[in-house]
Order: sequence, then structure tokens, then C-alpha cells
Amino acid sequence: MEERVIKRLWAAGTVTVSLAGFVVLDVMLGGSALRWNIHVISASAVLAAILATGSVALWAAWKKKQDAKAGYPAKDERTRFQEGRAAYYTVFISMYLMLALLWYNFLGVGPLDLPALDATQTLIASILAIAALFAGFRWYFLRKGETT
Amino acid sequence: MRTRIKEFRARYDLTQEELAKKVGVRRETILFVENGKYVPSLRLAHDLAMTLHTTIDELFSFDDE
Repeated sequence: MEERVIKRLWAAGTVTVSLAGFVVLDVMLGGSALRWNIHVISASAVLAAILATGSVALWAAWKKKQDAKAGYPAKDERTRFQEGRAAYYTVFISMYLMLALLWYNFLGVGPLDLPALDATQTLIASILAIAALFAGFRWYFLRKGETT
Repeated sequence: MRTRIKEFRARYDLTQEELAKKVGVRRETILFVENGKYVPSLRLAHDLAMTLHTTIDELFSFDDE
């Protein structure tokens, strides 16, 4: 089977499994997305993100094995350079993300009376968001990034 | 940046995959260098020139940028 077809099937599988994880946990916790229970929704979203991350990690391992079999290096000077660029942008965006969370804690929870964030869920979500940011920037720079 | 990699590849009947394996990089890197979208390191430029039996200045040229 062609690699492009496998990639599309894997992506479709990742979305399906993540959505199924979200719905199953949402139902198990007795919540419903329609009731807008922030804790149930965020727990389900974290599970969906973990499933998606696991699937992407499996894809990356499989791709690495295929590349090694074909005789290509896993990384070369261009991939290292673009990964460095991706990391640089991720650090900046993550800093703003952390600042936004800090302001939410100062202003949102106090004066604006918004629901307080669960520390564990916020940490897991932040880690996943940072990983997703890096993966997104890496993908973008490796395909579109120019250094000329 | 302009390159003559495609021309030299054709001369030695090499595909992008084969050239990539010879110089130890990924195929996409050859594609980007060939299209002038990635400026290779001096080491990679040297390896490309050696593999294609030419010199770096024959292989790469820069417009006034």
C-alpha cells in the first residue's frame, strides 16, 4: 500500500479514536457536551488529546523504521535546523500561553467570577498544547519553511 | 539561489532518492536545495559537488539578494 494512503488512513483512525475516547469518557463521567460541564469536557478533551498524541507517536515510530529500511537518515541538517526554528517559536507562544493562564487566574477567577481551573488538568492540557504547537510548527517549517 | 543539481543529476542518471542516499540526507532536502528553497551547509554543498563530479561554484549561483 502506498505511504500516502497509509498516512490518510492513520489520520482518519486517529480522529475517530480520539472522538470516541472523548464521547465514551464524557458519557462515563455522566456529563454531556451540551450541558457544558467544564470539568467533564476538559477531562474528556485531555483523554482525546492523549489518544491523538499516542497515535501520532506510533506513526512517527513507524515512519522512522520505514525511512531506516529505505536507507535515509532519520534527521539531517535541514530537519535539525527547522526543528530548532520550531522549538524557538514554540517557546515564545508557550510563554504567552502561560501568561494568559496567569491572567485568567488573577482576573477571571476573582473579579470576573469564572470557574477555577483544575491544576492537574491545566498542567496536562498545557503539556499537550506545547507538544501540539511544536508538532505544528515542525510540520509547517519542514514543508514550507525557507531559509534563503 | 540557483542550482544546476537537476542538470548534473540528469547527466549522471541519478534520481533525487539516489543522490540523497549518496550524500546522506533525506530526499526532501535534495528537493528543497534543487528548488533553491534551502541553502545547504558548506559540507553538504561540498558533498553534492563531489558526488556530481563538479565544483561548488558550478553547482550553485547567487543573484544579488
